[in-house]
Amino acid sequence: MKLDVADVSVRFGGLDALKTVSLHVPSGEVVGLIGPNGAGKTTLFNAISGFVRVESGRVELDERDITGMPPYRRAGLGLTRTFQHAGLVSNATVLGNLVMAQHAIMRTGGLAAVLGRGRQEEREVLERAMAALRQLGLDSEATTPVAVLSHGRRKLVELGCAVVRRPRVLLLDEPSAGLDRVETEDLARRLLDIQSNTGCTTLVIDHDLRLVRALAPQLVVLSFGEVIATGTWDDIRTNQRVLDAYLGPQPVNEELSSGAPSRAG
Amino acid sequence: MADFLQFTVSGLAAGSLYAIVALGLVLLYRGTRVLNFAHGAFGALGAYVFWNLYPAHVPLLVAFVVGVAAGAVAGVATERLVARPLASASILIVVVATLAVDEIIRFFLVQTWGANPRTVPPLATRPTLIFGSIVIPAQRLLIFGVSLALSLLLAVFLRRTLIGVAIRASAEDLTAVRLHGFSGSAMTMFVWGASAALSAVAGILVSPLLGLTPAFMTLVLIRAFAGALVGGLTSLGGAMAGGLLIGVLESHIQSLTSYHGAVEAALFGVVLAVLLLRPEGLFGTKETEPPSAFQRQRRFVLRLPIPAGVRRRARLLPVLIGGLALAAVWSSGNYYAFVGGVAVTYATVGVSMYLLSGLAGQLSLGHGALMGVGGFGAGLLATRADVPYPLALLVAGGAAAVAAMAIGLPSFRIRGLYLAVTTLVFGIAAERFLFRLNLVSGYARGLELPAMSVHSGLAWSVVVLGVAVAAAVRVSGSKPGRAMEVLHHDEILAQSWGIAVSRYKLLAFGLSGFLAGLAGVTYATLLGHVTSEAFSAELAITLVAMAIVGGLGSLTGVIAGSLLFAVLPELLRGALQWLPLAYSGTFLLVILFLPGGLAQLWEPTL
Repeated sequence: MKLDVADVSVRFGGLDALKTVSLHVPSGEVVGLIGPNGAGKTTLFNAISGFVRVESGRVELDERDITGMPPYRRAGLGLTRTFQHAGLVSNATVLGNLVMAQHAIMRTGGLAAVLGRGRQEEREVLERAMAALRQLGLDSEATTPVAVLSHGRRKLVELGCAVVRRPRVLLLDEPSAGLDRVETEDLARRLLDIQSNTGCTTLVIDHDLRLVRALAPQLVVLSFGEVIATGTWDDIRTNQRVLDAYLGPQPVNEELSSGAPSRAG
Repeated sequence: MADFLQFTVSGLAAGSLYAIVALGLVLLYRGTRVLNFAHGAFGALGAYVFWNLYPAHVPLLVAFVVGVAAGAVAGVATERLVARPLASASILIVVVATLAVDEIIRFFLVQTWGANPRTVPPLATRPTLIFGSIVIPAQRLLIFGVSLALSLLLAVFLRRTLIGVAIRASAEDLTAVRLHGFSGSAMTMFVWGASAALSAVAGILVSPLLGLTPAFMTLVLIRAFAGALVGGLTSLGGAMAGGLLIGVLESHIQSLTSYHGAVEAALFGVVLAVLLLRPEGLFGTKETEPPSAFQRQRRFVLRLPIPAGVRRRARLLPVLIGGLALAAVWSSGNYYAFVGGVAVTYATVGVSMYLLSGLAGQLSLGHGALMGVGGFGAGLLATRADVPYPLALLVAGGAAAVAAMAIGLPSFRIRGLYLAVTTLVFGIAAERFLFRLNLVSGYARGLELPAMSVHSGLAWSVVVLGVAVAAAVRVSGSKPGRAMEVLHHDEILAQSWGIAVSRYKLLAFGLSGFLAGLAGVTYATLLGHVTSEAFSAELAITLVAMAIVGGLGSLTGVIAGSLLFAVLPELLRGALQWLPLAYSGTFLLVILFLPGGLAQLWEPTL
């Protein structure tokens, strides 16, 4: 499923949070979305998933216009996102979260379930959740309440919740936020696994450029609500506008040019 | 035209009084995010103290100061003893806690000065202003003048003094204000005291018009609430305007109709319309995240030491105990069968609360009215249309479900506190207006239900409870229950997981309303004769209180809480005047020491 964002603008009061942003993620590809703090990366995710109102422009999944669609229906189409601070039901268990997260892919209706239908599907849901936990190495924590897990484990559970829903488009908002280096490398491996297994279209935001480099061959660079560059890592590295307006100081520049996939994962 | 002006002017005088009561509510809400239902009781206390000192014992000014101080002290005490320990509790619990404080203060007033109404003389008899055909009696002029002066004083205080500015800022960010060297604790106490003092002034001023009864301020408080919501809970100017507006509206409605409850019905309509069209009120600003209160971690959690093995095997224990109790009740004659039936009916409402509040996290203080829709509905079907009982039961339950979904509609736009108040106002409007319509109950005469033996009534209530428990177990263990849990926790997350939040809220309201309606039918059946008082707003509050006492998050908990509350009146037989204190006291003790409710004693995860 391919994702198209065409000339999307979002305004917060007098502030242009996004100015005619366009990007294209071909089906099954991974694109990295980078940019300084406040560039509008998360706002773009909110626009794609339907949590902010788009002033003008269109968001399309496989050429289907979803611009005005409520968020829950977009999720029903297979659009899946994660949050910077692991979006989970913290007072439920790990397994409980993975079961709850499958809401959108269940066939039984809510009222039908009250009347006793869909018991078979309930078993399937439970099995899928356990399988996903085993895959992520979380099965020993299945009955642990999420609230007592470390931040790193929680991010992993959130990833499990995203994967178990059979995503067709995955929006990852800073998957490495708050993780240490070892955890980040582990995460990068798992994300690569997931991507190659499911082949879902992915858009990933992260400040850890090694992680982005490991996942995404293509980049989109946002600054002050505008796309200032699009292309491969080589294009971006040599793009004067990115260097001047965004990357600026030397240390970041160094990291960008020397970040090799081998080091990340 | 002269009439219109006359009613507007009298409305403004009453409205100015509602305005200062609303001002106190808003001041407290802005400073602490607590909506205080005991606000009226502080005013009543102040008025009682005043009239027991003046004119017999001390001069007016002394009595006034002592009366206002008594109200303020009650406010500060409530902050210390109830609001502060509950700072991190859920909104619903804090709301019911202030209702319990209200109950306790009224109980104290009755015990000390008796329940009999007492008329008191006006504080001012001169001058009566007359403009052409418009007459303004001196007492009303006094009310208007004092209210205006007080609100101006408050405005200057909040804008021009350092502590005033700190209080306004603490509405935005209490932590930041504390980091600037202000004591959050002292500010909170000050706000409670000032807010209660305003209510005491209002109580003293209005008592000559309304007469002195322990509950006389309730009437004023409901109107002040409406004013505060209409004007915007975050805006002091809005509270003033809202109060005045409600006063004028009330005055004109009373000029048009003497129909009982018309004012309450209109208030419900106005509040609902404003909240739906502009949830932040006419003059309020949109609330961002509520400010962080003092979060205090509980150091210990009281819990029965039940070994895990026993716990696993004890699944059916509640059913066994229930069955034995039922058998005992069944065989002990009509009286106990009646008590048992009421207890079982309460338990059904408890289950309905569990679905709505425990699972879906939605609040309702209108469940008494939903029971009433069921009770009156089934009564009308049985008496007017000869519908057989089981069918009437189902249809009436369906009607209550529809009513519940209607009061749930605002939950798409408003949350938490606003929703709680809306449902409360709905309950009051239903009790005073809907259930007293000639069509429904022949005004206040009530509705006679077809006779049924007490034991049949008990049997039906057991059947209904069985249905309720089965439904709750089914829902909580499947897709809809999980969806409700997620939206309870975080609506944004729920949407991103593909959950149609509005639809599941409606489902929760509908199911909960259906069960409450069924319970209303069995309740009406047991009573035999129902009036609007049987389904009062106070019943709704008791219902919420007992569910919280049991533990909203636990099915066994809500049932245990309901049974406890149903049995309390039996334990107090011969001393029933103590019942309000027993209910409120039990509630406060349980939530202060067992924040998860009674269920915390045996549920491992609460």
